Amino acid sequence: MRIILYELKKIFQLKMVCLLFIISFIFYQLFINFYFEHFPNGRPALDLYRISMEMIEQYGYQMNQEEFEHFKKVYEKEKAAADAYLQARQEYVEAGLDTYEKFRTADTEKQEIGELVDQIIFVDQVDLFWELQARETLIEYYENRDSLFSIVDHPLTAEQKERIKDTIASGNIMSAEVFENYNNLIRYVAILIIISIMFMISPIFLQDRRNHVVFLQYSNKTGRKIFNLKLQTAFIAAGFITTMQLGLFFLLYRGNKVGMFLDSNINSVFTHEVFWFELTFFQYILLTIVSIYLLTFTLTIIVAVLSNRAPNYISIVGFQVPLAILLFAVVIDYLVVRITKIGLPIYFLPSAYVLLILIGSFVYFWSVKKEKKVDLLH
Amino acid sequence: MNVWRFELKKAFQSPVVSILIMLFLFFNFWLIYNHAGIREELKVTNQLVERFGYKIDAEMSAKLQAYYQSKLQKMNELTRKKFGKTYERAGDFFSEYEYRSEVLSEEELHVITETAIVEGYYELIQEVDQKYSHLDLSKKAKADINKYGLSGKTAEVTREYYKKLNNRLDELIEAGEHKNLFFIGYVYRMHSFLFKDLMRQMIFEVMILVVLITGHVTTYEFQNQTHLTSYASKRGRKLMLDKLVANLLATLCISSVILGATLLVYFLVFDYSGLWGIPISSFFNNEFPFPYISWWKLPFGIYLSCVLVVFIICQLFFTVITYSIAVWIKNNYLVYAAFALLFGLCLLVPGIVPNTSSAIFWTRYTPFELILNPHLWFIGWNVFFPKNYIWMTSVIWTCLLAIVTVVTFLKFNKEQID
Repeated sequence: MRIILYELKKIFQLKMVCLLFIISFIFYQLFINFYFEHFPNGRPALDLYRISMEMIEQYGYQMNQEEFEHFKKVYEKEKAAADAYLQARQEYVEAGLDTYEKFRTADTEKQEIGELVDQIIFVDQVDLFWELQARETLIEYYENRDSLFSIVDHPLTAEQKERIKDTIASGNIMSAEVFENYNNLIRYVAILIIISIMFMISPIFLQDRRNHVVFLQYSNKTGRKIFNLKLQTAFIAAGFITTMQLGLFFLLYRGNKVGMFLDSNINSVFTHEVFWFELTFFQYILLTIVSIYLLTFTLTIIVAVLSNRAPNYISIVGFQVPLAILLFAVVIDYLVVRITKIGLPIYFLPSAYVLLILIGSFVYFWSVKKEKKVDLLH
Repeated sequence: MNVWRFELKKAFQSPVVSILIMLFLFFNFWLIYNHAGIREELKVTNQLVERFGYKIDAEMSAKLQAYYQSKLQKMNELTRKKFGKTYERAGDFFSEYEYRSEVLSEEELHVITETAIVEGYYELIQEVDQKYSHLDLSKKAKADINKYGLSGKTAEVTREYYKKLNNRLDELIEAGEHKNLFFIGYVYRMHSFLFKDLMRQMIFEVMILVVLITGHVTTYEFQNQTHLTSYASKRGRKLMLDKLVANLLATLCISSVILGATLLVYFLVFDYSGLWGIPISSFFNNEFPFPYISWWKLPFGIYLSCVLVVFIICQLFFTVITYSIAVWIKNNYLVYAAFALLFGLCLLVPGIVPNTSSAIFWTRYTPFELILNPHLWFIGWNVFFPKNYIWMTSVIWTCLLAIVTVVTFLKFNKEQID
């Protein structure tokens, strides 16, 4: 236990921790902050988000045909209000834009009409008109819900068809803006966590070997068991870093105000997404967290073993370049973002988890066994 | 000379360097391979240029029209025989094409495709004048000001910028620089592919290698605890100077390997014969409604060479930056982290300065910002790409890095390295 504490101290040197803070800060500023500051990103995203909330308030987490008719009625009512808005303005009546229908289909190529339309939509940003647009989008999604059958490129299997049918029948309400926003955020957070772990764990063995401490370590009473202890330290450190990063992220994510959607089912015609399981948004978030932990633990063992075998810093960093490219460009898309999506086989995620655990344990036991007999002087 | 050789050996003896070079070359070839499907279609352009020259004028236009008509006639003969139908435009055929795919042989299909491409050229040529006369740069200035939320002084700079660009545009139209054939940018996006996708990928690849090697070579003595011997030898602390030279040489080596191999394959796959003299501001090179307007008249061949020169200059900058950091820090692991941080900071700063301060323009004069858009080098695209952008950045950073290197040397010469 004492050794683990000392080793933890070595990993979390003040210098490294400070650098990690600066790296995280810059990363947040460059990639993550955008999705906090610009959520919902402009209009009509803002209106779609608002109306989704209103729908949940009024209809609960599901919407049936009857409620949809009511939703349409609200739309008609607002349309009438928009008509009144237009008719109250002389210049719009004169330009022949006296009803919302005409306003919507107006030929904006003509300069004066284009300017009148821009005035309401972009200059005054009249809420009513943006809201109408958002409602139209949602109504369209609901009415064209059969288009969900085309979200997978290749021909559907019977199970996929079944899932899509269930989703269409359910009428689940979920905001596409919220879901998309979370997926973007968690992708970058996962990348940041991977970078943090690579950065902090890489020197773990290399440092000792470059200082020739390893000769002392292996010839004292604890002996080669220290290799195992240091691997465990790496796990503890990686777990701690991941927890801190995720904790910080979710603390900031609370500012996005998505509490209402946590109980929404993510299989929804409004997000145009179907998954293999009936997950609520909250369960989905938990699942991504589990994935990130599994990924980071496997990564930790790989990085630690690399650190034990690399002769110098250029090698350890150089070998992690392809690893990072692989993780960022491929693995995150399959293991963190939109997991359990219907496009992949149902057993993909469980087998990926099993594979990760297998790789991790194999590398772990293999390296421990190998280290027992390794010739240090060569 | 001998010392340089040994230092270079340190750079390349690590297997990771050769593995990374192989891997990066594989990525580049893969990218080219994925894009190679259009190479047959591109050859039509070479044929047209060979036949009529690339300069578009009335005479050439007439010849092209005659050629197009004959092609269309041939195609219609073919379709009449096969489907009992003729077409006014070759493009019309393709809207019904998929039902007929089995009936046509490879060769026959080729005839029709070729006709459609020639037709594309013929029709676009008719639009050139109209497109350029409709360009209103003051509108673009307004759009830019809105888009980036500029005001006051910075808005003034933007308007000034577009006035200058407008002068250049007038000059360009006067000289007929835009009236040249090239691969159709709207369809094939060859400019973006070569100068954005491929070139930017190569910039990052070479940068990674250069930073890894420079950090390694510069800190080698300290990392292997040979510093007390080597810096006490006759060569002494001047060894650091040799390391700088070796690093610069290694950078040139790496750049030429990656650039040479990739571009060789690129130009073997995509045939540019006959097109090297065509100005980059050609109408056909445009990929977006807003055209590529180069600040000088740059034929494709010269443009490519200029881009390569800037490429190498940037890599030399990265070498010197890493080198200077390495002399100060002496632990190459931290050197890599410091370089990454510097990169991030230089990208971060232009994003957080207020939009009303002219700092949003001059904070972009860094090699880090520069390498993000290699496809817009020497081109007036928006207010952040002024005429002096490339050479000012190069000059400023050359001076800056010269000073930094001198200071670094002075410091290292008197430093306690024990």
